[in-house]
Amino acid sequence: MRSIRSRVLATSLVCSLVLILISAVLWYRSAESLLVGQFDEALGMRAQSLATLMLETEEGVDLEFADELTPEFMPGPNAGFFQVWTARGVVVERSKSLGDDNLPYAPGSLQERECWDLRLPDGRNGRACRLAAAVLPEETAEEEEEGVPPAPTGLTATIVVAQGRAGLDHALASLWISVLLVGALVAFGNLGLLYLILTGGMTPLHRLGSEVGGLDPADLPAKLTFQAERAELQPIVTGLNVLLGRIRAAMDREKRTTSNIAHELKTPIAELQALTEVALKWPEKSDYTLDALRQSHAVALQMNGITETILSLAHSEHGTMTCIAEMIRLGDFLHEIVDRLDALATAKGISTEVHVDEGLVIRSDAALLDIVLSNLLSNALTYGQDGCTVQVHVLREEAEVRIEVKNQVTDLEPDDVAHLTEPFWRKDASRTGSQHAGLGLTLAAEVSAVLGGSLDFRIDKGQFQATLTL
Amino acid sequence: MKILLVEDSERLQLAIRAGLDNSGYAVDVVSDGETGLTYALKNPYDLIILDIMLPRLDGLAVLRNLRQEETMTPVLLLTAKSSVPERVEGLRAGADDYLTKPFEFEELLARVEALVRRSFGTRTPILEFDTLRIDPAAQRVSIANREVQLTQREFRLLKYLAHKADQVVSRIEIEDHIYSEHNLPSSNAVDSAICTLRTKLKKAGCLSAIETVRGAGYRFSSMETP
Repeated sequence: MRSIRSRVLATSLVCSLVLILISAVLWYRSAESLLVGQFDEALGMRAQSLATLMLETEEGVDLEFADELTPEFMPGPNAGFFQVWTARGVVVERSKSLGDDNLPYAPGSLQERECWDLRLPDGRNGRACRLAAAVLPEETAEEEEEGVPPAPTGLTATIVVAQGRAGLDHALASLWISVLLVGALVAFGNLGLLYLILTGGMTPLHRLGSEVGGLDPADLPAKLTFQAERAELQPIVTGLNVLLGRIRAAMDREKRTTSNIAHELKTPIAELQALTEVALKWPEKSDYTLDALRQSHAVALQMNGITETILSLAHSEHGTMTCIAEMIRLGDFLHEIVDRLDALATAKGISTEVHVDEGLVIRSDAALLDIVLSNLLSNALTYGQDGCTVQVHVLREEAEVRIEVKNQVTDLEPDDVAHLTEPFWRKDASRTGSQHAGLGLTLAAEVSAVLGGSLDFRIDKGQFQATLTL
Repeated sequence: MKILLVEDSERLQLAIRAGLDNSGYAVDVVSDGETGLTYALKNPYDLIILDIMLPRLDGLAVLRNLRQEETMTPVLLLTAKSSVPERVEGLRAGADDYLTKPFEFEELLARVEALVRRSFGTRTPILEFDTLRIDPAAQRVSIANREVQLTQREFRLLKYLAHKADQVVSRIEIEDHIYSEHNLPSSNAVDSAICTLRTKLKKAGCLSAIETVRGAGYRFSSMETP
C-alpha cells in the first residue's frame, strides 16, 4: 500500500520536474533568442560594414574591398561568406571563401535586415543575414575636405553575409544542459527537503497511529491520551474519540446482551438439568417425576418462545421480514388484543381502557402490527402496578397515527428508557419470572421500524408510556 | 440436617427440594432475598443454598448481612454468574462454596455433604462407630455389615445424632434440624422417632447407641455390641 509520504513525494517530484522543465524551456528560449539576436546583430554589422564600402562607379556598383583586411571571409574551416548583388540581381562581389558558389539571393526593402538559418556552401550549418543598402556616389576631393557626406545615388544593392553557427549551437547546447542539470538538482534537492519535512511533520501522525494501534479491545479508554500538536490532526483525534465512545457503548451493550443471553439460557437449562437428574435418580417418586415432566415441557416451550423471538429479531435486522399492507379497523384490532390478554390482566387486577375512533381504518401489516401492540400491552400488564389501569389512546394527526399505551410502574426510572429496547434487558436483575426474557420491547421496536414507524418510550413520575407512531 | 434454599426459580426449587429431601435433608424454601435473610437469622440451619440474583435483596447482600450478624451457617452460592471475579466476590463475601448454573445435581449433593461434614468437624464421608456404619450419600446404615432398614425421617435423625456424637442434643434442636417448616412434627414426634430408631438398632445388634439424658435430651455415644 502506498504511503501518503511516498504519494506526496512522487507528486511533488513530478510537479517540480514539469514546472522546472517548462521554466527551463522558457528560459532557454529566451536565452536562445538573445544569443541568436546577438549573433544576427554581429552578422548585420558585418553586412552594414560591407554596405559602407559600396560605391557607384561608371560600370555600376563597386565594392572597395580588401581581402587582407577581412581574413574571416578567406577560405578556411571557419570561414564566413558574403555576396553582393545589384538591385537587378547582378552579382557585384562575393567573398573568396565562396569560390564559385553563391549564397541565396533574397532581395528586400531598403535597410531592412533579415536573418535565417541555412546550409553553408561548405556543408556546415550556418546563419545568414541580408541587408539592402543604398549605394553612395564616389566622393569628390572637395567633399572629402569639407566633410560633407555625399548624397545617395538612388542605386541599391543587396548584401548577404553568412557565418557558420557551430559556436552558437555549442553555446546553446551547453546552456540547455546547464539548465537541465540545475533544474534536476533543484527538483531532487526539493524532494530531499520535502522528505525531511514530511518525515518530521508526520511524526505526530505516527504517534497517533501507535496509540490507536496499541489500544486493547478488551479495555478501550474513554478517549485517547494523544495531544494534537498540529491543527490538522485535531479533527482526526476528535473523530477517533467520538468513535471510541461509540465502540465502547456498543461493546458494553454487546457484553450486557451476551451476559443476559447466557443468564437467560442458563436458568432454563439449569432447571431442565436439575428437574430431570432428580427424576432419574429417584424414578420411584412418580409424583415428582410427573411434575418434573410438566415443568420440563414448560421450559421447552419457554425456550422455544425465546428462540422464535430471536429469529424474528434476526429477520427484522436482516431485512427479511416482509410487510404486506392491508386495511385494518384499528378499534376492533386493539379490542381483540386486549381480549386475548384478559387472563393476564385479571391475574393482576389490571383494567384496560381503549380510547379510539371506532371508525378509524389504517393501512398496515396486520401480523406485524399485532406483534408490536401485543408486546406493548403484554408488557404494560406484566410490569404495570397491580390494580392499575392500562390506557390505550389512538390519536390521528394529519398523515400520522399515534398509539399510546400508558401504565403505572413502581420500579422504572427515566434512565431506564435507554435500555428498554436492549435485548434481554430486564430491570429486575434476578430475572425472576420465566415468561418474559426481555425481548418483547426489542422485537416491538424492530418490527415498528419494519412497518415504517417508530416506537418511543417515556417514564415520568411513575407513569410509563410507549408511543407507536405509524 | 436442615437446609435453607433461597432460590427464585420455582422449577429449581422443586427439583432441589425433591433431591435433597430424597437424600435425607429437611429443606425450607424461600423465593426472595429478604425472606431468605429473615429465615436464616431466625432458624439454625445446617446449610444455606443461596442464589445471587434474587428479587428484593440479592444473595451477596443476604450473605454479608448474615456474616455481619455473626451467623456462621455454611453458605453455598448457587448462581448463573460464573466468571472468576464473581466467584471471588462471592467467596470473599463469606460464602463457603460456589456452584454455577447449570449444575449436576450429584455435584450439588456432594458439595452439600462436604459442607455439612465440615460444619460438624467430620472429615470422612462415612460415619463409623464401632460396627455401626452410616453412609449419608447412599443413605445406608449397617451394623456388622448387615443393612438396617430405616425410614427417611429415622435416617435423618440418626445422621444428625451421629454428627453430634457424644454431645447432648435437645428435642427442640432435633426438631429444628430434621424437620422442614412444611413437615412440623407433633409434640412427641421426636421421642417416638427415637424410640423406633432405638428398637431398630437394638434389633440389628446395637444395644445402647442413643442414650436419654434426663431433662436435657439425647446423646449418641459409642457402641456396645453383645
